[in-house]
Amino acid sequence: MTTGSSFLELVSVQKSFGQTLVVKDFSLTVEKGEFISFLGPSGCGKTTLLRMIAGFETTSAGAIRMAGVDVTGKPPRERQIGMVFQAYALFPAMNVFDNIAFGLKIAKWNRRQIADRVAEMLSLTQLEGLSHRFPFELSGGQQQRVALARALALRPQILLLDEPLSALDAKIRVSLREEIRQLQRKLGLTTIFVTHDQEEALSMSDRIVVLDKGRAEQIATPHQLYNAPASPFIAEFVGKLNRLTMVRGAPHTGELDFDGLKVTANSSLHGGHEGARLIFGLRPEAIAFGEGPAGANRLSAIVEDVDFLGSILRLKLRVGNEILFMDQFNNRRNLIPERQAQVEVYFMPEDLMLLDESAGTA
Amino acid sequence: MAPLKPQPLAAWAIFGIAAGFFTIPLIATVIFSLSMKRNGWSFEAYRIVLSDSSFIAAFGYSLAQAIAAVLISTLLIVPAAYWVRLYLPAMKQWVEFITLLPLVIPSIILVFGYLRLYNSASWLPLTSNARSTDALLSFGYVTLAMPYLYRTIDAGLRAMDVRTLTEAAQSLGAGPLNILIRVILPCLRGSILNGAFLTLAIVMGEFTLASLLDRPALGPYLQLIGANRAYEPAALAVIAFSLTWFCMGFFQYFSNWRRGV
Repeated sequence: MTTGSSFLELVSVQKSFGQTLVVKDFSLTVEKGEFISFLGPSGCGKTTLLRMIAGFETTSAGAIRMAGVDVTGKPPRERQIGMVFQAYALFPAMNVFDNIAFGLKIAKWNRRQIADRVAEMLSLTQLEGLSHRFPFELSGGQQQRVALARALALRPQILLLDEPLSALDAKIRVSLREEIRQLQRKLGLTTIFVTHDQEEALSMSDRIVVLDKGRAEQIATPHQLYNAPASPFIAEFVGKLNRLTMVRGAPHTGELDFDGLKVTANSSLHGGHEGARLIFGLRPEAIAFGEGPAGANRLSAIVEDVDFLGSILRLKLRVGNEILFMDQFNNRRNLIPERQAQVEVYFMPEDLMLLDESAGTA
Repeated sequence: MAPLKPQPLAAWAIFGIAAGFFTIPLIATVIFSLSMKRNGWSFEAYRIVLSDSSFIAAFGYSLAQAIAAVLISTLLIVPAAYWVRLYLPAMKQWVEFITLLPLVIPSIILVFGYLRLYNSASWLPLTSNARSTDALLSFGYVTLAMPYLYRTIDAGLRAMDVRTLTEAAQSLGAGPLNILIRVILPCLRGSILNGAFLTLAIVMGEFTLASLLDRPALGPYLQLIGANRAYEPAALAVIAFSLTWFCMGFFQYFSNWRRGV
């Protein structure tokens, strides 16, 4: 059965363990060559979904199609997938060559073809010269590269990555995620990546599926997800967020009361009932020092704390009774504000994201 | 609370008593085995034992039985333990209970049960000829070795991430048999060798099954020599002890050689 141009289709997929429904009515279409991330907190169902695509878990309802073929009931070995696991899962009694060659031997490639393909994979994953090493003789990053080479050797239809970077240290994680993305682009390989690390998902993905309690909360590009979150959960889960409760002042001007200060939201928020409580999100990087351009919301704040994060300076500001976090790029020419110093900051009305309009009347 | 003071003298005394408990009888046996000739020490008892064709035959027979028991046990227990660990974890306690039964059921009961079930007048007359009785004896040894082999293999499976390795192999197109032979079995080499050594030790000294099934194994031979000779049984005991240590060394060598498994 062929359905449109999508390469992987999940149609109303459900999964329950006993009475617990862990994946609820999940649908997704993935184009060929797309890099999709499943992002969510622990227990949101992202790994279960990946395992259903791989065939390690059966679906309780719904269908999974790969390249137009229904694979819902097929065992993993018939799905032509490549999978990389968080714990590497290299075969401990085999050296690097034999690990990469494993799938090729099962598929009964001849010796010459296997040697050529393994050499190609070693070169692709920059593992030349390590083919005779055993897994315990390799670093975590090298082991995960071998796992990647092994998964790619059989030219899978889809590459499934189950938190492959979680067990690695910070520096290796960053370099390996760039390598994975480059490889994926080079091979044009449809890839599903499971992670709980939003930075990984934002930096690597064409699209991100944010899951919560077994449901897809939003499926969007990283840019859309960060700048136009579909729900308060996503706004708070993806990136750091200031959560502000404001009271609608003059509805016709969009004026809001923020702890006794008058601020304005963008024109889409004009109207509504005076006195209604609204919950807004404001990204820390949307706040800046100074008075800003005309129309900016200006605040006078006390610096409560300063976190130096290298490239970023994160300030904890107190405005009245509210706490705001503000991110600034580190600039060695600027002085770091002292604690308890009074500072003038501003943000633009359009940076306020309305999270909840049903917070009642003040 | 005051820190515990080291008690080197007491510790060494306990160690000395324990070491003496094991080594003094051994040294006495070695000395006795070398005292066959009145005018000094000699290897005469060893020469007599090793030149006795019955000893060589009994030793060879028991060794062959031990190898057969190890092979059958491995073929039986590895897939069973793997399957239970992966797909039937709830059954694990029952399987462990069953594998412990040979330790609580004496071999004499086991062999009488065999004789009742497989005598020449039964529906499966395994004792009707020598070859099928040999097979019955091998199965008996498999049963006796099961508590030890199952535990060593299960410990080996516990030491690796069986589920993820299985899933990795499945994602690469492997079926259950390929996974078991190519992935799981090589990782269990150390455990199987460990269990094989224990099986060897059990089979080489076993008397009850071999005697009551009337097979020419080392156990009945040792009993026969012990009942009729003076110095040769001591020499046989030293040989058996040396063989045990050789097997332990052999196992150690191969388990160190297993390359990070």
